[in-house]
Amino acid sequence: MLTEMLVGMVMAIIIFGATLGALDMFFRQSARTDKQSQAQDSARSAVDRMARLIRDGVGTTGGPVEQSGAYDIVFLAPSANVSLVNNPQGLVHTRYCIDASTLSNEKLWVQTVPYSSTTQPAPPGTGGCPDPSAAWTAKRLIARNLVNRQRSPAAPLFNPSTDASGAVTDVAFDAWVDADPTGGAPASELQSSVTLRNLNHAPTATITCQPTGNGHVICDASGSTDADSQTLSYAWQMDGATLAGQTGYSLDKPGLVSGGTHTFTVTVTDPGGASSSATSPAVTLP
Amino acid sequence: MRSRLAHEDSGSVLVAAVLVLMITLGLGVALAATVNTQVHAAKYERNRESSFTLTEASLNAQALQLGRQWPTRATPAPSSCDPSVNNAACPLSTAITNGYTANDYNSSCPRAPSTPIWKTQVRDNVNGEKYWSTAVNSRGSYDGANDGTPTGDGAVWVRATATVQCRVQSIVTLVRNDPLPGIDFPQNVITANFFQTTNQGRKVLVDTLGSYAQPPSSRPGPSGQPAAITLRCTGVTKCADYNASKGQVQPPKVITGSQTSTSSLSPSQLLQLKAQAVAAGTYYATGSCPAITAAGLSSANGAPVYVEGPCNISVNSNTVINSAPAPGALIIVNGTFSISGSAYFYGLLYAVNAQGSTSSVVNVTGNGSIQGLVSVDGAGGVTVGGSATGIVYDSKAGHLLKGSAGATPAKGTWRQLPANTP
Repeated sequence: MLTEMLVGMVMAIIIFGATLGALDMFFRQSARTDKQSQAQDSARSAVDRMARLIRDGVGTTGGPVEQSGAYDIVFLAPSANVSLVNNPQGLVHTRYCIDASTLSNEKLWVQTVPYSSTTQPAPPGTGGCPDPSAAWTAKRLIARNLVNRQRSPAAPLFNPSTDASGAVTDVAFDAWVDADPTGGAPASELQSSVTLRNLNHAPTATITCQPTGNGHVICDASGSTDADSQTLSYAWQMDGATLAGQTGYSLDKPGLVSGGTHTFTVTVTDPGGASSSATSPAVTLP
Repeated sequence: MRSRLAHEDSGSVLVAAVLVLMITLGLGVALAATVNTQVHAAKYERNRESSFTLTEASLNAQALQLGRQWPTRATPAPSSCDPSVNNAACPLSTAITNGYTANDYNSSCPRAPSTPIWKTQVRDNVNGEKYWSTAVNSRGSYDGANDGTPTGDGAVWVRATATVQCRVQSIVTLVRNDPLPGIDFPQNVITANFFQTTNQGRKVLVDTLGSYAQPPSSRPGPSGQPAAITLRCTGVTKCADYNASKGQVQPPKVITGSQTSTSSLSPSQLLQLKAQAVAAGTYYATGSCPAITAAGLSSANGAPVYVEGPCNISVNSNTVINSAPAPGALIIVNGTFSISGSAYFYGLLYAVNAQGSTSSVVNVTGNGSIQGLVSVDGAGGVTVGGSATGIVYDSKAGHLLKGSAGATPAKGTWRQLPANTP
């Protein structure tokens, strides 16, 4: 009977130990899963936000993306709560970059600065991530636990595609997340890609001018084209001076003196604000 | 005693088995919960993408519809469009949903089934505005409601919202109705198959230079160039039937046997002009004719008066259509035009001659006069026989017609709104 009791107790201890071990393993795994899930959710939210903002990006020349690299991208995005004075589209220089100073815990930062000058300025420097310059008026840490740079081979976070003019047309995102790089489950991969909806190519202006015998010069800019097939508006200059009221694709300039020499310039502008100019050779009236 | 101990032993094994079973069950439940979380995350993302693509389709469909009927004060867009709204300014529901038939699109939101699966709104912009804000929501649904001009600036905001499996996405963009720089129209004082006069007197019946234009300040200077009477002369024995020796056409610039097209404008150009007339309220559909008054025949808001006909329009007494500083265009698809009395027409008169007439389609008699350009398509002709100078050239009339590129989203204004944007 004693033997039976001892066997029973040993069995109970073994089962109890196994149970505790299984529970411990289960709770550890659960904690790792929770941590990984939180890291994934945070990264997914960041990727979604990046995708939306880059898709909304606006730029009058060369597209909205101002700089792009594997782990660093700068673009112009519209934003609420920005003064629209001199900035009618409410644009903000926006930078996303990875800080890899802690290799096992790469951090994704966003830095922003609005602009309010009549000409679109260049973005501030990108010396570090985040750049310590005060030129960037805001910065925020939006995701941790990325491992893009420590993977072998390293995995670019941003994969931009460009067109023939060099403008970025699409951006693919590939974020690798691992809350516990030293063990546990392998890293999770989060992917997304967007096509830039506001990409606007500059038009190309052409001009031909010829004098007529009655003091007129007739110019034609109807050969001007826009790569986006948008309607162009026209503005004319003679010898550098704007010809008020001349907004057609052709110009009939009367009242010029015989023997006079003039140059004419047409500036074509598309609805997105991108423009191009062409100047005629000197025209001498007979 | 032995029996009791044996009973207790079997009980301990049962407890151990139950413990093992519970642990296994717990692990199974935890695994199922993890899988369920991942499935929900994937479903959430798929529904959001489905909603986004439907939103973009709605936006594009609404922009296309605006190209067909631009919203004006007279014909505003509805406050909002959704699959239940049957309005010419709204996208066709089937045109959108035919492309989205997957199970995701079966319901907008099961817990709120009355929510439309897509919705579009047209709102006016403020002139020059390039940034959408929530202030746009409360504006009028036609161009010109808020931009300080009676006819608008040719741009409106369009917002599209789709709700797929309760996931809401909203997109906005500014849509422009950009006119083309102009429609090339033959710069001839008369373009027709034939031309004739019925007055045998020694007087100028057609002024190809504009020397008789009213007011005198609008007459060309010494450097002015005459326009031609250009005649195709197909199937007629007397093509330019006038008395040249009596100076009835001055300066005498008449081109016969011209190889120019029998149509001054193409069908697509006519469609663009028709759309402009519809938007301006100067369109007369088949079977309805305009009132023979200055208001009934004058252009409005830069759009031509477009008459499908059949209408034989006869203007007399002292009716003045359009004005010298603001000439207009009258397009008659099927019908004729006669002017007499002391009536005056300033602008471009274009008879498409869809009735296939081989007779005079435009007749000028009495003291009636047309100052501008006259064009008759096909085998039709022009007859001038009054006591006044019946047709006076005005180059301004040749630049009245504007085309339309349709309505297109403006680059730089497209924006996906953050969730819960009002």
